[in-house]
Amino acid sequence: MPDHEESYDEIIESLKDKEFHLQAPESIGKALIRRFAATVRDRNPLYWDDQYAGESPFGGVIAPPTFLFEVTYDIAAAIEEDGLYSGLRSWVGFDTSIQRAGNEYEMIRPVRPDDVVSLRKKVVDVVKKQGRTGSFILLTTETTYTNQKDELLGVDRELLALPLNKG
Amino acid sequence: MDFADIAEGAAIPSLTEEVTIVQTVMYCGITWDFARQHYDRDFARGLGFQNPVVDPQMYGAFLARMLTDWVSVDGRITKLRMRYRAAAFLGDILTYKGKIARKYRNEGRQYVVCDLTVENQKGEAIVAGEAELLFF
Repeated sequence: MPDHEESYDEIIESLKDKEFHLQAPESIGKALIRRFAATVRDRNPLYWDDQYAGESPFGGVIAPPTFLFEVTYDIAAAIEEDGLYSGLRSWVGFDTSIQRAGNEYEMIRPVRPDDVVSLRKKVVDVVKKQGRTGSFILLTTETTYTNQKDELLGVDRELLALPLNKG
Repeated sequence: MDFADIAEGAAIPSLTEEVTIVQTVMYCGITWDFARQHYDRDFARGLGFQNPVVDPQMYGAFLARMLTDWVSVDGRITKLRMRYRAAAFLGDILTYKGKIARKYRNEGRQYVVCDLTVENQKGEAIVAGEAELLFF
C-alpha cells in the first residue's frame, strides 16, 4: 500500500486506459441458466421450458436479464485465499479490497444458451475521492458483451470504490 | 398486460427475501465469485463489516426477477441502474420494490420506466435505482 500522496497519483495514472478482454471457452449452456434462475428462486419457464419459451416472443430459452453481467466466464482463473481472482488484483495493480458502488446495465438483446460470450472491459473514468473512512479511488469501467456472431448483447457501466487506506 | 393499462405511480408487486447462508453460497457458486467477505464471518469482520456482506450485484438478480414476474412475456428489461447506498448482511430480510415512474413511446416502441428500491428489515435504504422496460 503506498505511503505517499504522489504514489496515489501514480496508481490513478496506471488505471487510466486499462483494458481487459476475455472470450468464454464455451457457450453458456442451459444448465448454467437454469441454476442461475434457481439461485434466485425464479421459476419463470422462459429460462428452462423449451416449449413455453419457444412459443413466447423470445422464440426459445433465454437467460435471466442480469445473468450476462453477473456470471464469470473465466471459471478456470486462479482464485486466491481471499476468494478474489489473481487476475483481477493484478489488473487493478495494487492491493486493496474492491467495493461496488453501482451498476448500470443495458440489455441489448436476450442472451441464449448457445451464446459464446466475449467481453471487453475498459476504464472510462478514475478519480480520487475522500470518504468518511478515508480516501478512495472511484473507478468507472464499461464492459461490452458480444456473442460469437459479434452481436451486441449488453453493456455494464460499473462504479467501483478502491480504498487507499487499509484497515 | 396491456401497455395502455399501466398507470404511472402504480406499484409493482414487491419481493421479500431473506439473505441466507445457503442462498449466499449458491450465488457465489453460480457467479464463480468467491470473495470471502460474502460468507466468512471472521474474514468479513477483518474488513470492518459486522457480518458477512451481501455482494451488491445480487440485488440486480432479484430486482430483475421482481420485474419479470410482473411483465411476464409482455416485454423485457432494457436498462437496470442501481446505486448501492448501504451494505446488507447475512440474515437481513430485504424487500425489493418498484413503482411506475413514467411511460413513453419512442420510434414506434413502448417503454415503461420504474423507480426501484431495496430496503432492509429496518427500512434502511440499501439500493436506489431505476429500470426501463420495452413492451412488445
